[in-house]
Amino acid sequence: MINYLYIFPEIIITSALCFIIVLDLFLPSRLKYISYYLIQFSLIFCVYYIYSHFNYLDSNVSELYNTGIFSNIFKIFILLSLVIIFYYTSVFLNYFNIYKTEYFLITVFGLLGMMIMISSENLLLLYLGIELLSLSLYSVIAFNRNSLFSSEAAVKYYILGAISSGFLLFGISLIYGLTGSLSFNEIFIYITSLNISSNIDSVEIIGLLFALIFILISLSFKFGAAPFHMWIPDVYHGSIITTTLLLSTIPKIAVFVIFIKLLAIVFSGLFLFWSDMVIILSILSILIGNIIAISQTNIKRMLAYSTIANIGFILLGLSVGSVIAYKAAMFYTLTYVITTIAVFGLLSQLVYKSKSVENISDLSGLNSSNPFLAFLLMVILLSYIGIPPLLGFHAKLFIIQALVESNNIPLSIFAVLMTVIGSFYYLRVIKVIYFDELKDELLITSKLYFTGTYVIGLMLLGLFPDILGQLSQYSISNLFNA
Amino acid sequence: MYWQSMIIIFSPLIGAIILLFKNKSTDFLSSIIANSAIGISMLLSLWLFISYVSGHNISESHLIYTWYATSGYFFEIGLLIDSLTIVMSFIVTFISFFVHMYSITYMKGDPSFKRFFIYTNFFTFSMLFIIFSNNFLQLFIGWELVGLSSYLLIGFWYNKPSAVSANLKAFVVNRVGDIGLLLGVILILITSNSLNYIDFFDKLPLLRDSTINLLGYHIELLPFIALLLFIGAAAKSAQIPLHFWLPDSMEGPTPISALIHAATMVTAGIFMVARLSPLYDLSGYVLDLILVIGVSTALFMGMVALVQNDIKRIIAYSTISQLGYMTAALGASYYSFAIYHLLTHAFFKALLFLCAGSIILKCHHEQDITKMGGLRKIMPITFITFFIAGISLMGVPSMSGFFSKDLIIDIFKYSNNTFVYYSLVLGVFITTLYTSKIFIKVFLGNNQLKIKKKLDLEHSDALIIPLLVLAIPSAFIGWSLFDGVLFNGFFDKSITDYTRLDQFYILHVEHSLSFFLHSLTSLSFIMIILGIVASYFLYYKDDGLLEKISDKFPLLRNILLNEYGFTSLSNTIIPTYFKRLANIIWMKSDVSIIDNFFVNGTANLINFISSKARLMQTGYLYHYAFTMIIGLLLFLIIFYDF
Repeated sequence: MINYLYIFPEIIITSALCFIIVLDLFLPSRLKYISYYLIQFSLIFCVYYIYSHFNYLDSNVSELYNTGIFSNIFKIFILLSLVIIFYYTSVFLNYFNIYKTEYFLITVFGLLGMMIMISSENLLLLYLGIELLSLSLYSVIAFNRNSLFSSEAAVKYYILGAISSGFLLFGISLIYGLTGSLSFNEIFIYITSLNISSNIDSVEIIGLLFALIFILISLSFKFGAAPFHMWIPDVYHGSIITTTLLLSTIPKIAVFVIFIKLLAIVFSGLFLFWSDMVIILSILSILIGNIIAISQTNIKRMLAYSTIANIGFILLGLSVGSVIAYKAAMFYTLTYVITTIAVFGLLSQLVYKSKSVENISDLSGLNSSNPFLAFLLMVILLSYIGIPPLLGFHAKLFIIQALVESNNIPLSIFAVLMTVIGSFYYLRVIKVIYFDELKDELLITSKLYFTGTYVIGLMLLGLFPDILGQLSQYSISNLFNA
Repeated sequence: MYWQSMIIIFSPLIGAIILLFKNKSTDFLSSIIANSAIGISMLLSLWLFISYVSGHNISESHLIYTWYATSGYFFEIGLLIDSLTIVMSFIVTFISFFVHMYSITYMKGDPSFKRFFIYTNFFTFSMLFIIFSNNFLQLFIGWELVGLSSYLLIGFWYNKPSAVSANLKAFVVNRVGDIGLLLGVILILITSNSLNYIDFFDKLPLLRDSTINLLGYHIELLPFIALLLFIGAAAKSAQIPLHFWLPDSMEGPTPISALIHAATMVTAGIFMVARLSPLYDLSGYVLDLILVIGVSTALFMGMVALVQNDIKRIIAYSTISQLGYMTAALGASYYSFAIYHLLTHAFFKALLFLCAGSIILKCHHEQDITKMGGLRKIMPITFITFFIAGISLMGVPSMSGFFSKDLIIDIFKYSNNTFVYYSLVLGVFITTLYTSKIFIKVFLGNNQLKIKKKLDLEHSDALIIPLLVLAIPSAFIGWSLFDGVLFNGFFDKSITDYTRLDQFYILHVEHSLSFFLHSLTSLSFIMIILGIVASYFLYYKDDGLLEKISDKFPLLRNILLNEYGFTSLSNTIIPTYFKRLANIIWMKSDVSIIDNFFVNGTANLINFISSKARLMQTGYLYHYAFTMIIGLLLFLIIFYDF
């Protein structure tokens, strides 16, 4: 007997989607905002439902669909992030008169995909979630049909995404062939029952490793880790800035959840093998991200490389394999998402020569035209660098601390050095904002009340790192106790 | 107590932030914001002080917030509220408030009027942050913040080259001390695993016999920590040999000299040692060192004041000398006496500076006292208040300065430390001499500057009221807190010298009245009389006696004018030779190795790599797909030894 109450959050989202799609057809264009508010309402209602049924949802013991505390915390986080992203998106779309309800609806399909990814306890379900997410992302990237860049980016992402899905499916089929199951739990039991150290050359181990590499590569593609990062700069550059905001934030959370669930639990028996792979991925990502970002002139491309570098840091945390390191990685992910929402949200509110901001030089002299905005942007960028007492400092510190505690001194030195190199391109933006001549006045699409509050919240989170620290601690410990 | 203290600390900070972000604000509005922010702190401190004095004497420690906790170390911000804290916060906020009020007039018309108040508000916050701190990290943060505000305020008129070099000097000298303090704090953290004062004090018995290995020598731990921390204290409190920044700091606006360089910041070192009295009790030879430094500062820096003619520099040397008295009391382990002298000194010295400011303002920014004269009739209120502050500084019996300073002198009298005793008594003579010198040259004699008396008051009310208000504690606070507070166990819970204090009271003081009567026959009183008589002949009767004396002892005069060589050390020797050395290091190691090879080399290399690596991003889809396949193959090859 299936108890549908456990998947009620997903049901809320799906039914809201079906209702709003139909409703939107009949709304005249001046009333389209109603559908926007309905979507926001259904997201918030979903958060409320999960929050108020926290313990009830946790009692679910399905083999297929996990609604434990760990998943729910991430779902709430994603839903709230999406509410903020939608706020910025609607402001942006309305300002440029390209508002379409479909944009939001398609994104909510992606949200559904992410919720399925987070909860899935089965490889096939995981695959379905990833595909649902990817399909909706392909469409929102191509949203700006008039732009060549936009269509090009969408096609590139689509084709590369198809290759990566192929990898994933190939890996899954190998796993199924070896273990006879797609369930996380059964795969886990199978792997732990193998005596890895004694029969390292056995067919099972070689096959599992083969499958693991394929799955890992496919997920790295979704995550944007080098050398599977090539799509990121083009897609970030090509899409409208609010799509970039969307792409660079919540899908990363969902992929992070998959990473941690697969690596830390399902494949924990193969830690010896995957930790090296993850280290290679992270070193390449940090190197490529930080170094290429230096020579970028487009701010979206620069932030795309910065994303790659940040993903590298998250992977660095995952590679350690201790509970403290998972906690640090989760802290870093949350920090990264919160900061990235701030920076893209803020940039999406800027208008330069009646276009959205594209180049770093567009920001020159921002301080003389809008000192408050310049200050907010500076705070966000300093947080990215990791200047205490801002949030980014703690995130980097936790990762490096986890590395040091596992006696991985060379990697921690590498991380610190790369942080220094990485600080250059953020500082350059600050230099442009504060010390360069004002060219053309930058306009803002709406008042800065929300952004201001958000950034002040960001600063407070940095002053009280325990809030996110405890949250990470709580979710990670629940993941391992479940 | 918790919320009151929080408001006391953070109200000035909020004032500074409001001023900082308020773009369009008139001078009037800025001064209102700044003054009310301090005013709130002042009233609350006053209230807490009164409630502590009237018996509510408790000690409590609060945790405000844990910034960061890692593997057993806690970095926290907290409050330690006890009698010492309350006294200090009373001094700081009280003087700060009246200095702020005074500054409204003094700084009127300055183009950076608002900036001045941002700095002073921020300074007051930083100082309170140190005072209320319950751990060493917070102490260090506050220490740096007051250093920063002092730097900004000394160089407030940054167009004046002398101000810029003075603030640089203050900053660099304080850096030397800060390194000592920081090393001490780090040593505390690694040996006791805690930065909290109370935890550290609890661990002192365990650490008592431990030693540390320093370059092969085994050094006792606690004296070493005490020494390192005292280096910080010596720099901040301008003790020999780190004193020479303070006279130059007079380049800042005069209210700043009153607030920071006389009453509050320079006493932070004294406060810290008193706060850490359990540590200093166990630090043996370091106490002797502190005593020697204190006594020599008290005597020798007072002598330098004799040859100075700039009114602010004289008072600055006097401040150093008085800080020397406090340090001497610390060295003798009578921490409470040091704090008591700190309390009275803060009032009369701030008043002296404010009077000096009033004089300078009247004399159109002329600071040379030999060019002044006859201001008695023109500025009667400044005259009277300066008189009160002056005799308090000299230590004329019944004044505030007397009760605190004679206590310190008496410590050495009764402990038969004759050499120190006579040095300090000689210091009294010198103090009297230079105080009378200012008094005679400025207020008596002929009106050389031809300043006309105006019909109205000498200055506006906002400038006069602080003088009058500060004159009251300068005259009376010493006596009024003597029996009932100082010797009534007020500092029992915060400073460890209470048994010594009780003994001292029973054996040598008995009561304030007898202390007062007794002092009329004491050596220091005779010294004051002698000093006044001498200054009458030297400075009032203009018969060339002073020139004769100085011609007789040219060496002494030159030594004093040169401040025992510290002037040439800090203005000539260090700058030239260090510059030469620095130039060599700069050219050889910095430019050629670090800059060109490491910094620019790395930067160029990374820039080069970056410009090449970006070409990987060709934009061609098949390149991207190819990279993915290559990546896959790479992984397969690495993990399979095919």
